[in-house]
Amino acid sequence: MNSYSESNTRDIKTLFSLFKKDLKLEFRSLSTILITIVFTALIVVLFNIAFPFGVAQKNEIISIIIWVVFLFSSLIVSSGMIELDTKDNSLELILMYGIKSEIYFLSKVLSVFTILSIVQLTIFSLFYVLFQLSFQNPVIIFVAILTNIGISSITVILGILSVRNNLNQNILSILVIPFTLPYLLGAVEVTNQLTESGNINYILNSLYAIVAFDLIFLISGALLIGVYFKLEK
Amino acid sequence: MIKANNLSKSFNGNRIFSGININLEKSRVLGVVGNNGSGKTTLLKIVAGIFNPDTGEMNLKENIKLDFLGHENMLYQNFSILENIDFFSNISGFRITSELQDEIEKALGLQNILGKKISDLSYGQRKKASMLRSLISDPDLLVLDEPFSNLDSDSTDSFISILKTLKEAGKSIIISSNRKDIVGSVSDNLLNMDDYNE
Repeated sequence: MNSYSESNTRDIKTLFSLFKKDLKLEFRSLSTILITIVFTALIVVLFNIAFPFGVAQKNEIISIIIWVVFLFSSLIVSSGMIELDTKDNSLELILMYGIKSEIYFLSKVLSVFTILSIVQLTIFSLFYVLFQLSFQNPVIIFVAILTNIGISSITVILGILSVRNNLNQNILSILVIPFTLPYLLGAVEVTNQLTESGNINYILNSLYAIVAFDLIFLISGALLIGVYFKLEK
Repeated sequence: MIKANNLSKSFNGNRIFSGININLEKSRVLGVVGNNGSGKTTLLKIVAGIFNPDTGEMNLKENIKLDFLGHENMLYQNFSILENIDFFSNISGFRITSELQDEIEKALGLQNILGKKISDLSYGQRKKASMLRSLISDPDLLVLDEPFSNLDSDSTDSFISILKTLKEAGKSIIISSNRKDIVGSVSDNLLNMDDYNE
């Protein structure tokens, strides 16, 4: 095995060690996941009570609620996952051992993505039960995954910057809105089209945009966090 | 083992220290002493590569294995001692033999609490668990920041005897404390940070 593939193998092993550690810690305390699911359930139930059935544009409004609830859940999840490493300064050790910052970033995105997938499943199930929302096209799952990747990347970037700078959680909520707006608009449009007509032809442009944003935020996030950790030294 | 010339560091425009030189050979212990805020932790973090100096050069011998024990225990509170050890040795890529690990666990008096969560341990036990974590990679150079703080006299004595054993085993150690008497008893040289503050 040459040194290049050896280094890649080590990077992949490290990424999965970091990912496994995050999930193990999270499932042991269940703190972040429980807070997020309770928060989500509360919002959905409240909207169910407040939302009159038979109202015009029901699907449109529900599509907006789904993604706004998801966005705020992602803030709770990402700051919880980042605090796992910053609370007792274990991050300093991780970086001291020469772990590449992009590997650390990708492992966090993967952890947040996994927890958010569970949250997403809860959100969609609750909407299905409480709002009788029909998901006629399985493409909605693909859209949910793509949107989750992007939102996980953005909240991890902003989460690392805010937690490391001791910024307030409220500031994170404000910072995240302009970055996630393109996703939210695309996801709302796609969800609305898929729940109404189930026709994929209307949503291709929005899908392409979501994929493009995923790539932009994943790549720029890995680079930005690397530069940030170097500057922080 | 390690050579540093003319190190200086500032935070937010405030100069913490300047003009520090370090020359540490194998099997030697350097004690770093000074008042609170004199920059001991900052200097040790520069040696460990966690911070970069503003000026000066740090030269470590090639392929040297270094480990750092910080103020905070730097361990995951919801993991047991063994889970922390497994995680950190997985990501560092280094691990001593299980026989040697058993010996260190015994010397630190941790063998009966290895499965306990860090959050359930006393302060002294957490310090010892951190020490075990830092020794598990078999480092050539051990950088210890205030290892004696908040330790009772028995734990301090056992720590000192562990440090002496490590020194005899060929390890180099940099150790900081504001307790000059304790650090002086294990160090070959002392660096007083108060002499380098501005």
